[in-house]
Amino acid sequence: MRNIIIASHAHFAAGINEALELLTGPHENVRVICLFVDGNDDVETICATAVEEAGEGDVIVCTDLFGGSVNNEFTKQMQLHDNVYLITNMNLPLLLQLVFADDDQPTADLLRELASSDDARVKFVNDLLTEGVDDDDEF
Amino acid sequence: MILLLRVDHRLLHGQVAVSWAQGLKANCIFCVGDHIANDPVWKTTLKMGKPAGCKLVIKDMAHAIEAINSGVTDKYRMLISVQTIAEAKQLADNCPAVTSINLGNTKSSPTTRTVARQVFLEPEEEQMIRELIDRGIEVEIRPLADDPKIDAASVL
Repeated sequence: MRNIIIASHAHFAAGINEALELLTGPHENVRVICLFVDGNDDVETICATAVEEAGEGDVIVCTDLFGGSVNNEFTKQMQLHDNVYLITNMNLPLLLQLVFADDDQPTADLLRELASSDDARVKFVNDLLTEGVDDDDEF
Repeated sequence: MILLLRVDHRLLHGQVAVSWAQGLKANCIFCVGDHIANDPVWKTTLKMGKPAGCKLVIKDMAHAIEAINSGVTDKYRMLISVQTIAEAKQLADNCPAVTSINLGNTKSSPTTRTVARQVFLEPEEEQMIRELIDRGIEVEIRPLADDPKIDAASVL
């Protein structure tokens, strides 16, 4: 099973993990890191330690913001460790697909697929209504 | 094939679309109720939120019973969602294919009793559940597909 690290500025990571658990139950392979709160200011050490502790298998790190310091720190870790895969601008549909993903698929292929998936994009719902909803509603 | 008959006043939402539809590998979600079948706002919202790869059908109670008993639903891996215990009982009373009822989310009111985190029962609903259990229908409480089943008889 792949290890997943969810990391963010402040409590976003804990909050999104709480929502993930509400929808899918707890996951023993998910670790949450909230930075710049609760005294977690040493982003360099915290991120490095998290990657070490995750072990040898594939580690998927999901961060909150491309260009933010949390993602920047894991970008360094990604270059130092072959087993670290980094996804940023995370959202709930992405995490849902991640926890339901097939363990047999190569991790890089899986993440390439998820990052371009329509389900994980932001959507303007008003326009979806104008486009019309699916009318395939009979047995 | 009916995989699940769930009582959930929110019908089709995150827990159902994600945990249940994926966990049971459902390919059809059937929302049943006289109110929702005649409410265009509810219908549009349900259709928009349906999980990818899943068919969604919405019918009133009479047409739902007819559809289930006719056999047209047999070819689907189907998850049925109703808003109330009374509606679940109507389906169980009229459709022999219904052998089990899942209590997911019910509404609380000043007269309900809390029996689980998401399940609140009116006195008459407790009576309905007793009747169903006595007839051999399984009634169980589970918010998510991976949660352990709680036998409703144990909380009455």
